[in-house]
Amino acid sequence: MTVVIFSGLVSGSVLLLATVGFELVRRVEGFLNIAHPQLMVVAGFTAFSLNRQAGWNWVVACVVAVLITTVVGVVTARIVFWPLRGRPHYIPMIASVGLAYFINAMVELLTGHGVKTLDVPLFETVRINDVPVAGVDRIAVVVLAGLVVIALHLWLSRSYSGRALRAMASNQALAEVRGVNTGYLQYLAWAVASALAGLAGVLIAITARIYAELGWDQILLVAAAAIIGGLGSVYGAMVASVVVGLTSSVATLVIPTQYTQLLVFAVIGLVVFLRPEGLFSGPKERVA
Amino acid sequence: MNVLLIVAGIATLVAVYSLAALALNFQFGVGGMINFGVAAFFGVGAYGYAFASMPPSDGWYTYAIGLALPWWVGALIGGVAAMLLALLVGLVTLRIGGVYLAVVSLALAEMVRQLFINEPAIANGNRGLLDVPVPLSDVIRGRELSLVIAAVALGVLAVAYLVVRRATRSAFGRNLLAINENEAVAKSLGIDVYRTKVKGFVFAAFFMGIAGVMYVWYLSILTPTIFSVNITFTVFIALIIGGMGSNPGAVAGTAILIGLREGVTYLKVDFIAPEQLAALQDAVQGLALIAILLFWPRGLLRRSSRMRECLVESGHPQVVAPAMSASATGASR
Repeated sequence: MTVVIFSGLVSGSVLLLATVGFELVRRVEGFLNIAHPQLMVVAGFTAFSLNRQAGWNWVVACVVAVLITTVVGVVTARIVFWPLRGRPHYIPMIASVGLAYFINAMVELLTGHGVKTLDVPLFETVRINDVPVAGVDRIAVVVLAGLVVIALHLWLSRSYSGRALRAMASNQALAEVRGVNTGYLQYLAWAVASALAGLAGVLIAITARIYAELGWDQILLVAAAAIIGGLGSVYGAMVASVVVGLTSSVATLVIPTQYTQLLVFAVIGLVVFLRPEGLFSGPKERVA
Repeated sequence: MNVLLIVAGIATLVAVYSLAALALNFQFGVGGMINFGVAAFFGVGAYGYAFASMPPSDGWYTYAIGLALPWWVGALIGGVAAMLLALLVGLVTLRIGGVYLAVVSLALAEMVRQLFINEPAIANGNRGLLDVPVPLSDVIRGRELSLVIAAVALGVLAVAYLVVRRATRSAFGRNLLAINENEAVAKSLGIDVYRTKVKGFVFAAFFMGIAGVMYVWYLSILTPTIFSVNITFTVFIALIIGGMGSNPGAVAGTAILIGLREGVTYLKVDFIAPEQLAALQDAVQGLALIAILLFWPRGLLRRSSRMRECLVESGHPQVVAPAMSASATGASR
């Protein structure tokens, strides 16, 4: 039982990192970036190439992979999404599907099919009262996600750039009038979102396996978490990610594994039908 | 003969995807409903047809239902199956904003795919249905059959085109367009927004289902890959090439896209493996979609927003603002 709950916590933590970035982009740009989870794939496979093919140490490979993913994310925003500003909100969303396709195809082209793993040392398993709980790596994932949540909270609520970002998300014209450097903040928002997606991808590569279609599987979970949390609320998305992770893990005790995704889907349907504003946010859209 | 067969195959595929693009155009181009689950309706139509037209499972491999009905009854059942799914999805998601429909429909296709893979009892799981009946196959045999299938598919497309065009120009289609243009104004004019959207969504889903049925005629086997996001995406690109909101554009865009794509597969290239070629095709399609959205916002084939003009010209007093209808007279397409 503890093992199952903890593995749910791990997948929830990874999902949290991905969803927060997805939500951040939605707040700032106003569209759902279907290509967002593809950045996880980019990070995972970059780490794989550096680690397995170039023979780098896995920690160095992962850090470099996150940095490269950040750059990729910002560059795609600059080339694809920013020129589409001012068009109806579904236009950038459709463009993001095209981008997702492109990234997925390039990863497949460059690395081939199949499941990949990193060359990571075996981690010890932590035991509580002689009951195995989880490997050190998995505990590190949860701790890391916790630290990211705290850092994000402090950034958005205390720092100048975080507060300016929230101001820009709620009313860009007004923020500009008040002297907020919106151009810089947009770079910053995309960089943070991409880095978090990269981190999520690298963590999946370390603790589990990666494959080229990972992005398509993840977009469903990310969108589910974002909807359940209530589009527009970063904190709601955080809670919802952990809930989705825990539910789909605990559900494996009751229903066959292949149906956990269907369960998550049923939950999205119910939430959309009964409470479209999300479970964790008020009817009024909150800022950040 | 060989060239003729290739042309017939491409023509069938163009008819299949054109029909889906027409249906998507009605949902998305006219009604503004973003359906990322085209593959779900396509696939449900295909499986509906297979279950209706196949004989009962004889134990060689398993599937749930086999009604052994004639092919045209099976095709109609396929279309109706897609409509029922659309009714369910529409009732749940269309009451609220557009992004929910996009996300739910995207997830829907994936979920249905997994259901068919994980439950071999429904339709033989991943291996799929291997000998789905093809229309007229007992009358015509051999190579001529694929020519006949192409003719039937193009005929269905022609009829569907006329029906969809009629629907687009009808009061119902104009109401849908009005909702897409400005939901608040449409509501103030007395249009039941939710009801009109659900009706439009379900109506178009019928043609997506029929497109799926014709896809089975083309392949004669049916596996859960029919639910893959590839199909949705192909239809979206075709529609965007032709220009959103334009019925002739939907067909022309599909012809261009499928013609190019299938043409490439018949090229003999030695330096690149087939599976790499498939990935390369996907990459080029993705780039093409982005490039068209960036540089040709109205699609490659349209100079101006002709459907809007046409509808303004028709001057439906409930929908079009007086100032706009006063400005235009004359020809429609």
